Amino acid sequence: MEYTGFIHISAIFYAVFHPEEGTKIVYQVPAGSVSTGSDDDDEALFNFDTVKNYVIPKPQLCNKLLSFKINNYRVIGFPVNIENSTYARNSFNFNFCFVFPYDVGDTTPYESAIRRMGTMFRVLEEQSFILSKLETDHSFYKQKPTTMEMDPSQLTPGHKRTTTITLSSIQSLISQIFSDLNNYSECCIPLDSANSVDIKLFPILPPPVNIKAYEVPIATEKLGNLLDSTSDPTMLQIIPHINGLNSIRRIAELAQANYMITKQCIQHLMHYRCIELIDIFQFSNVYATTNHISNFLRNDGQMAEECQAYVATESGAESFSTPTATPNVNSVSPASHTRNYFNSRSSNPPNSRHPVRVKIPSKSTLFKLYRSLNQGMTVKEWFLENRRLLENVDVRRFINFGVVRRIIYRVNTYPIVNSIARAIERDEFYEVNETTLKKKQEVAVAPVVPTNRAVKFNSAPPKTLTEDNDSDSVYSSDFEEDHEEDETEHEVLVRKQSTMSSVDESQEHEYRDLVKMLKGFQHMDSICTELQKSRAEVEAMIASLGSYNIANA
Amino acid sequence: MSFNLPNPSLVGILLVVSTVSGPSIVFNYPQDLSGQEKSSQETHIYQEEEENSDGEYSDDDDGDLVHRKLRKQWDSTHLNFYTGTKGDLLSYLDELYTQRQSHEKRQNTSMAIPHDMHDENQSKKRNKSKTNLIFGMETTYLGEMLSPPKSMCNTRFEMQIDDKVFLGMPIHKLDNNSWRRKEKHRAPTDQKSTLTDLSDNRSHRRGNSLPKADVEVVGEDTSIQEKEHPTGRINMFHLVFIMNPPINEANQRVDEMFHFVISRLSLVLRYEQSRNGYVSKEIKSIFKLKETQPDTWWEACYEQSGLCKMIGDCYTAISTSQIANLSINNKLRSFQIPIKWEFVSLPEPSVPHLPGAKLCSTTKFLANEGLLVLGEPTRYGSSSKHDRQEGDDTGLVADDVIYFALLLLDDPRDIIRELKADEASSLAKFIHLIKPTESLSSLAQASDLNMDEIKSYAFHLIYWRRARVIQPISTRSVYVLSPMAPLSVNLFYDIKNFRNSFPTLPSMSHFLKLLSPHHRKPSHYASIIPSRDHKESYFQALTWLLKFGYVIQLQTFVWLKVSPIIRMKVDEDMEEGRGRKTKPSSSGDALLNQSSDNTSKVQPEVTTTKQDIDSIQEKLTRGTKIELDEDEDYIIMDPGRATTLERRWMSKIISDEAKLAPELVPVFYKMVKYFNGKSPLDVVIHKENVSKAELRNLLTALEPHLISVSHW
Repeated sequence: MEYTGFIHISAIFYAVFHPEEGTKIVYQVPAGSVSTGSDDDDEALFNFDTVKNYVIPKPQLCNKLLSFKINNYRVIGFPVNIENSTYARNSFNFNFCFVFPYDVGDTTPYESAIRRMGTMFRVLEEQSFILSKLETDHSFYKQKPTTMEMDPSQLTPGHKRTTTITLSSIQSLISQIFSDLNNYSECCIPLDSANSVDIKLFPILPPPVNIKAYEVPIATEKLGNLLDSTSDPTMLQIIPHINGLNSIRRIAELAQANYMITKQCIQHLMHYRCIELIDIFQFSNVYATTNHISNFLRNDGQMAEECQAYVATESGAESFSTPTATPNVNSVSPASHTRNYFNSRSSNPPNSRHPVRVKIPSKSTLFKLYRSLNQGMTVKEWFLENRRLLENVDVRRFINFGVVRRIIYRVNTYPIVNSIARAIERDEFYEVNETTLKKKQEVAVAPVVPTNRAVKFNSAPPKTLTEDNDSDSVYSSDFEEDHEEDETEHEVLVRKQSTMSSVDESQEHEYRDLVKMLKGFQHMDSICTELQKSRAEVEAMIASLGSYNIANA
Repeated sequence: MSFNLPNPSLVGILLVVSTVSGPSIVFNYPQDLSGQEKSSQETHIYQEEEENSDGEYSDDDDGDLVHRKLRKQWDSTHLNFYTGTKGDLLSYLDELYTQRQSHEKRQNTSMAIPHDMHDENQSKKRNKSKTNLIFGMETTYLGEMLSPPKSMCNTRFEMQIDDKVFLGMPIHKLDNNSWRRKEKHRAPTDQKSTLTDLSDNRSHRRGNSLPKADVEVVGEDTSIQEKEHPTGRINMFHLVFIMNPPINEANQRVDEMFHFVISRLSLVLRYEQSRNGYVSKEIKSIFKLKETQPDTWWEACYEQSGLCKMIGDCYTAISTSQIANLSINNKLRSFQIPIKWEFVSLPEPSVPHLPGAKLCSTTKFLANEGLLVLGEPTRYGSSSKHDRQEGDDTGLVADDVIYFALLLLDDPRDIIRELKADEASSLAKFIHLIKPTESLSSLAQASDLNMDEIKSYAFHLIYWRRARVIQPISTRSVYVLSPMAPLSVNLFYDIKNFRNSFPTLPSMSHFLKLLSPHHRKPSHYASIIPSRDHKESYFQALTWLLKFGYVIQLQTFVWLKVSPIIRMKVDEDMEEGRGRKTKPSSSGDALLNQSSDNTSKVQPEVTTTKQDIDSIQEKLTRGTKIELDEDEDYIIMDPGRATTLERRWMSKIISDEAKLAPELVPVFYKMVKYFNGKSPLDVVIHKENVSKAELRNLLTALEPHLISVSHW
């Protein structure tokens, strides 16, 4: 749903509690919208007598935003109660009420404005009796003539230059608010040299969702035009890197910006609908059709035409002819791969003077290409299968178009390490960590190691052998026992350990993170982005932790 | 927006009455509505959390407090889970881990129970001093404000004070002292008797609870009965629901509460009041309890008054998004705000949804019965353009539910027990009959239940969130993992549940692997069943995976396509037949003009980068020649409403091109209206009495002229 503008105000009225006449409407626009007499006016929206207890409530409900429903209207006001001994009844009550049709639209954009306006007039009334003195007969005060002398504005230094308050008529004020807000959604009405009623309506947008590091922002507006020198510095840094290729993590890295701040910036952009999020494009990705796929054909193929215009390229296959950019994802990390791919496209030298023929694929060809994507096929496989049809199609644009238009979706790959799954089944989930996984793996993959040792120990003092019956003690003897006899063995072990610690200090860390993510059942994109490694590297790391299953969802 | 997540935002219920001695609040639930504790914007979805948050204040253990907060923050059914800046992934996972661990510990030690009781007592003590304030307002004054003038009664009442919405439907006595207007035209007297016997007459119960049905069940007007209860003379009663909805969802949350709960419940109360003064009687007894036990009246009312108990039950169920089964004047009625757990299309990634929701484009026909919430909110609105476009029907109506099967979401015995149905009743019999492999129509054939009964029971079970509609499970169907599968959220718990349910089968992760095709198209379920002996258990596993939203069925949808050659042939035929007729313009013509313009490459809504512009400039300088591939197939979008020309093409296809066998021609004409890319063929063949073999033969014969897509 596009934002269709703000709901219109049906009426505005200003009500006070009159010392003699009780709650009454002083002014209203349009005139006669709220009937005040006992006789029911058919033209009126509702009868004021029914609701006057809600317009000027008891002090305990005052100074709060208060709205109520009457007939088919919603009335929103901010009743104000001011206690002061100069007033006739020791207090003064007023309320600017806005009337809206009920059930039609959203009044929330007005609510903060109404609250602000109520608070402001409360302060002005407290300071200078701006509202109460407008009543010509001074019926709001105990002693009529003295009030003007008490007007604090007279005591303000330099009051002669600033002149006195010029609010002459609430009638004209509310009618101007009424027409300006309905026509322009904003108003700016000066009350005096220092105060004015400034209202601008803003739609209330949903809070930004928690975006993920692996998501790729793609701009829907010209982001550069939104910026000026006063923009947030991080925003300035990151915007050049938003190109539909870089993941949020990568943008942070390229812009040399803090990841969390980058993420917040992207959330802001998303909040204002300047970007959409897509996935990292790789040839190992899997895409499949959604139920929106038929939209491609509807409306006389409008989407198809847009697609033709977007995806056509001089030669889609050309970009893969250079060896650096072959769709061999196994060797290239997601980010660098797309970078290479992109560079190779753009830096392609103009190799011929002859006009290049671009044959734009027909709509039914494009549809055929989209519908041939399925849950069991990577883009690479799909590309090879449909190579002939993809002659003039930019594959990345083709996929992005489908994802943004939601006619295809990305099928994510979740690695599930079997030993973790088994640990959950056996209630040992919290004992599983990278060391236990690796140890198990070493035992399982290389059963040679213990046997080797056992062989070695044959030459060791017979004492150990006879005393130790099981394999566990083989390890313990390894660490605790003799240093002379088995020095070579020991050295090897130490060296092994030291290499583990020195070379793999960071790797150790990576494994810890990896296991954390595997235990949290994250998908491949998420893991790759977090570890900043290619999929093949990550797959190798996971494999070293034990066998795993792949779930494509 | 987050309309896919339930958020009843209910913080309390008040019962306000206006008697001769003036208006007053006679009962409130929960007992403490002073607003001291729950002033936060957050509303809780699970009662369990509600209790915990009660405890937070008196809890001295800081570590515990942190965990409780975390649990709230990482609860996937809670909006906070999806919004805000939540740190990076690794710290999220760390916290999730500690939270799960501590949760498990808590469960094991079961220390929580005495602890919570202690809290409860404490909070009760605290309440004592504050009972005459409700969210900072004096009870008596609030009672006055909630007893509006008569002209505001018998319709929706809404008053908002800052962020608290007071919503209700005040029921005022009419001028003639009756509670309900006479409705002469519809008064079948037997209706009344069915009302009293609800446990057996399910259809009636449903009538009162389904959105479509009118709650105002008719009885004879019993206006004069007021005289029989002169002591409980009340002029108005008003059940007020206090809500604190999030600001950008306020309208919708308030509307659904009024529509699904308040209006229905108030009308039921009015009905009972007009029948035999139920509300007056209850209020009289409440007043009596207040007099006799001024200190403990609240507890006494809650225990002794049916109306107060009902209000409490209503609050407990509705505020936790459950179904409220309320006993009103000894009759059982159910109310609920439907939850969004079935999706027709994949929600945007930025729109949160309940984990484990179902995804299927064909069950939307149930929305007409009010059994499904269909609106699919996008981030910025309630329904996107595309959704509305696709709102066109699938060729199915609610009665076609009989061609589907039911998937029970609980153990049949549990369902029967929770519905308080008799084991010998036909409902119980039906529940035992249900099999995910059998459509409802074949269940009907196998039993002595008639079709209407079955349909009505099926709708009940769906409405009560006990069952989902699925296509009968079969080995010939294709299943894949759902893009909405709650892998990151629920897998941790479900791996173990799966193992407990199927100790002899391979692990859940193995099944997930089997259903993730690799280097091949998704194929029939039969291909993963190792042998005939495994079929039964593999079906059970599949049912389980479907139930928890891990798996969807891929369905095939087809259109007819007409190649240029056929179009040309038909043209020639027509020319031969009745002279010259203008050739249908190729749909590519318009495109040709547009696309020969080189700049069309730059116009797409996805911003072009500098490199793009460079490359385009390059092309321009090289003088790229752009041609349009005109070899277009024409796709007949809606064969049910085909134009004359499209009909000619179709007959050309079946007579000359595909050379359909004579026995397939009638089948073609039965089925052709479903070749619209929207109707699930496997279901409609039952409707049209076409056998599977006939369909298969037809599709094979038409193969070169069909274009098919597969999705959920």
